[in-house]
Amino acid sequence: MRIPKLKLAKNSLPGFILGATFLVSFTAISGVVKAAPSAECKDTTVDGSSTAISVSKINKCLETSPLVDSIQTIVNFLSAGVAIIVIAVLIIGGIQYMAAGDNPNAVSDAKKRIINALIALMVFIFTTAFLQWLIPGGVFG
Amino acid sequence: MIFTTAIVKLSTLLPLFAAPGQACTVQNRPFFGLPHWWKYLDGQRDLLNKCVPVFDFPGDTWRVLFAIIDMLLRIAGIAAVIFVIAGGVAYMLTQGNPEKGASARRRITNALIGLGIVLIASAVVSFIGNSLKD
Repeated sequence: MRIPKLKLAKNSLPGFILGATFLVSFTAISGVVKAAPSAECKDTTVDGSSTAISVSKINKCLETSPLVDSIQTIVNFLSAGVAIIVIAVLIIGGIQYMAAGDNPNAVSDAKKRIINALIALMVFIFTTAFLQWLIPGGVFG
Repeated sequence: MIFTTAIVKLSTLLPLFAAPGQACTVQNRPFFGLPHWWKYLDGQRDLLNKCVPVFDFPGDTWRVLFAIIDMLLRIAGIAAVIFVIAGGVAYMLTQGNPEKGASARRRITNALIGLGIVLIASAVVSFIGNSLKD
């Protein structure tokens, strides 16, 4: 059986940036998970043993949890950047279209870039809509 | 005597140095109409009373990217003018050759299509972004 050679793709920079972002955010999240929960979220009796879980306690825990807070921060930060990055890519595609001249290959390259940027925007919009429908309270803080 | 007058003069200068950390607007000197990368950042007085932009990492990243988008829009406008002029010159130099004429026409239309894409993109995407924010 032939094993395909692992080769760095020509346009691997966006994938690399995405991977680095995931890595950094997961490292941050895993660091937060290890942190001890705050005192008011612990449901303890006088002798220190924990009692049954109550819904209000869980909600309080979610509100005060550093994990939820940092996820909220990351989500807000990244979703604020989506529109800006899409605009930037579209403008670059437009400049590429202008510079194409009468070369049909260059025109199709520019079109590909623009269509990919629009696909990214659509994916973001539909993901956002789906998550807002799915998650009670919404994903944006 | 000279020494004391020097001290008096220095003391009159002192208020100039006295307010580091004060908010201010950074001076804007565009180059070919290109805005600076700190266009949307807040300014602050440093120790020498100069107004310098303040960048803090996660919060101000997108402001800098907004400034870069402004630069790109400006570059796109300049590029559109240049490419339309280049296409017009190519049209002038066709000398009645229909193939060259068609090529020059395609150049001009492509330049104008690119300009349209840039204008529509910035308008539509910022509209969508604003409506998603609410």
